[in-house]
Amino acid sequence: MTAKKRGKGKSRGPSQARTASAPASAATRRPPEAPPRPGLFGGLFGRGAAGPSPLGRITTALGRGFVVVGGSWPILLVSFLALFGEWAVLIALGTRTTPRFLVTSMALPPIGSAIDYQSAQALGGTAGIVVGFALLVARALVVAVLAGLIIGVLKGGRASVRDARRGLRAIPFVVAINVVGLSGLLVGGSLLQVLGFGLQFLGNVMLITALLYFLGFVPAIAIRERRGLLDTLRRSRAAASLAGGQQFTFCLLYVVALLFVLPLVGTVNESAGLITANPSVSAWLYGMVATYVNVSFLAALCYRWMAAEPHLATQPVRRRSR
Amino acid sequence: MGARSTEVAHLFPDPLHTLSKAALAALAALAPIGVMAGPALGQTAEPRPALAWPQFQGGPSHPGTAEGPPPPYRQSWTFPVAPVGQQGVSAPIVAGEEAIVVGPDAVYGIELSTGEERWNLARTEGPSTTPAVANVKGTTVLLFIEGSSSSDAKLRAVELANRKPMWPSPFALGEQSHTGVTVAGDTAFVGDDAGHVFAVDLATGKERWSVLLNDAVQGPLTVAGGTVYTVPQGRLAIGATATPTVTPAPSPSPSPSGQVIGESNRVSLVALSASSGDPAWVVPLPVGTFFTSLPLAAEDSVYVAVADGALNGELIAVKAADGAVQWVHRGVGPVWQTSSPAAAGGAVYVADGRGGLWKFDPADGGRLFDFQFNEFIRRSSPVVVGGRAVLVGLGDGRLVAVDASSGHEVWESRTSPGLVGGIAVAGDLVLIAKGGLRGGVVAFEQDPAGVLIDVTSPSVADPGRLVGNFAIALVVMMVVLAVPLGYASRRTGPPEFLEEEAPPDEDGDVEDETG
Repeated sequence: MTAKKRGKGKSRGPSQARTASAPASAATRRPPEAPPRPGLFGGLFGRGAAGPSPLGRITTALGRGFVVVGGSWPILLVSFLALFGEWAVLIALGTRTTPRFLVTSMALPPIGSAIDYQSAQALGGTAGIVVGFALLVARALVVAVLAGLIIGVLKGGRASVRDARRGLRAIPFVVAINVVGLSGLLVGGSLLQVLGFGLQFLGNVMLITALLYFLGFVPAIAIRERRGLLDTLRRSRAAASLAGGQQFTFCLLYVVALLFVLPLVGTVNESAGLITANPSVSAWLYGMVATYVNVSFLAALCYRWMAAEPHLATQPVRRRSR
Repeated sequence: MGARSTEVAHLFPDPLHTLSKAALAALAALAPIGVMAGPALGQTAEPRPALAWPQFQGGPSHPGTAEGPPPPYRQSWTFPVAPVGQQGVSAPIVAGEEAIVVGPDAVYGIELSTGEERWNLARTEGPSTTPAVANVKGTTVLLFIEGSSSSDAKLRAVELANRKPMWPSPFALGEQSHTGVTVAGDTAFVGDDAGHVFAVDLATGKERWSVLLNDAVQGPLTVAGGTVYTVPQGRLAIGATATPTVTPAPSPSPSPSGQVIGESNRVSLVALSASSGDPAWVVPLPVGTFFTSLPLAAEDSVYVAVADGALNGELIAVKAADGAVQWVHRGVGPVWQTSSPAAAGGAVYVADGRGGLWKFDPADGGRLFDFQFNEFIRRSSPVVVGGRAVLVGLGDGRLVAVDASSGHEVWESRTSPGLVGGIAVAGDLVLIAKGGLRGGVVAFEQDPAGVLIDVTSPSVADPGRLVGNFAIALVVMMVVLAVPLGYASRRTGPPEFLEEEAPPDEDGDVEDETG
């Protein structure tokens, strides 16, 4: 693709990446300037750096995410079949729930894993443990495959079996962040009980946002790079805290959309609030729209990671001992 | 009401269906003669048992089962009682030819055959709680609670025949009461909002014992096998004693022999000796328990449904002897202390607040069926009629019947304003308490011309519908999303920051200097 063609492109990547003199090889790629200094919640709600962040703008990432997911029938198909699969499993296990469950069914970790935990807890006993672990692995599989497909499409190609296969390498990482996220939610949730109902609720929202903030890039990193878990987690945190990246705002936006906006929209769909094993067409549509939003946010995270990746290459990274 | 004396069951094995048309025609021709001939010959219909449905759920253990007319039903009569504020009528009880119900400021005796008021008895205004009738030395005694504060909350006993006081003075309670009256043997058991449990001698009105729990006792006490069961809401503690009182020791006391849920200082299921009030055992309910049903005692077990703040419920079975947990079934909805499970035909039935009616195997807690009505159930407990139909009242005013074998809905009344509360069964009538501005008592009788329905619970998966609806939605979404956004995606191209990226290796990996 020529520079002229790029000029016609609708996407706007981070300005730092627009270095015409950048070497062709990623191995030798360097940002023109020292990367913005990362810090804990470095780019919390606003732009902390003088220039644009390597993560790019939230709207650009989300726009890309929605277009990439919506424009790829393999990604949509995998997402919706996974949605159906989880519903079918829960119904087969005897769970009694409403189609509003479909909103969070395909939620990103750790929210998705918390949903699985609740499903397993409802069963209790050995069956609950077995089902909980199975759901954990199945969710990791779905997230990993979707991330693989999304990255394939983001690179300008079409989603292919090869992309999906490449995504499989993220499974152990996604299992790990599911476990870490779930543990964080359980422990944090217990500690937050001392705050009382109102503050506890707010605290839980912040806790979920923070976990997504730290862990959100892990699937993309696991697919794009071959690193150990700790390195991957470290790089996820480093990317999230790039100055001016507004990653916390991005995560908060997702949590608000998932926990407040989509359920509010769901109140319009009366049938989605009724306990049934056979959701109506409109209830499925509602669940699919929510799934589309969930997967689009995953795509936006992948996009943001890919934008930030060159700028973190120079960061000290601990090697895996071989 | 002419059909009421004909006790014809046509739910499931329907005897009438086994008769030939000729036999039916003969019966129809003879029926008017029979109706006329009865009074002429000085005969009356077979009298109902003296105490057909003497208290909440038909007995002190809350069995919730009786012989009665199977569905379909039709409305026989209504007895309106004007509500006062939030107070409507209590669950009805039946004694002889009367239905008795407690209203906000009076107790009413209703002629069962006509629905006409036989008498009313003023009471000090207070919660409308279920009364009870008992036979005391050959006299039928009506017991009810009145009052709304510590100064006027009382248990009163009157002779049913003439409503004259049975005791020299009413029995004073410690606080307003929401429990209603439970009668077992020669003792009445009541509780109050302060956490007192009282055992009162039916003959004299004197206290036999009382205990103080640390929180309110909100529903009718369950009494079976010489033990009183209740779930005081809140932490169980050793409070100041009431008049000659026995205070429960910290739980579990004595230690149950088997597995015990949780630990002390939580919402607990309490068992007290009915003769002395001594604590038999205390079982703390699961951590986070926020709502509980009333306990049901059946055979050698006690059943109580609980739910946490997230409205996830479970049914717990414990041994009546020592409180050891037998099994726990998770997955039921939230429950209220105004509803009790029921036991009949070797099964336990639970109605949850989300509108789920559940049938469990008491042996292992296995779910035998559930029917999800998707309408709240607040004040109604399941009642099994004739062992074949399970009745429950819904928040939208419907009385519904579910086949006890198949779990299919077989009948429902029309929706109407006001929720359906307690149910009573007496001979050929089903009585319900009805809330709302036009609430009161409604009687149903069997409808020979009625039609049974056969509705499967929406919670039962229908593979055709499940996959079909999903497939339609899938096609719609693919067309709506993939077509326009696929075009947009092709126009957009890859992000600019990727265009300088190295070609991927055979696995598609991007190498960096650390890899």
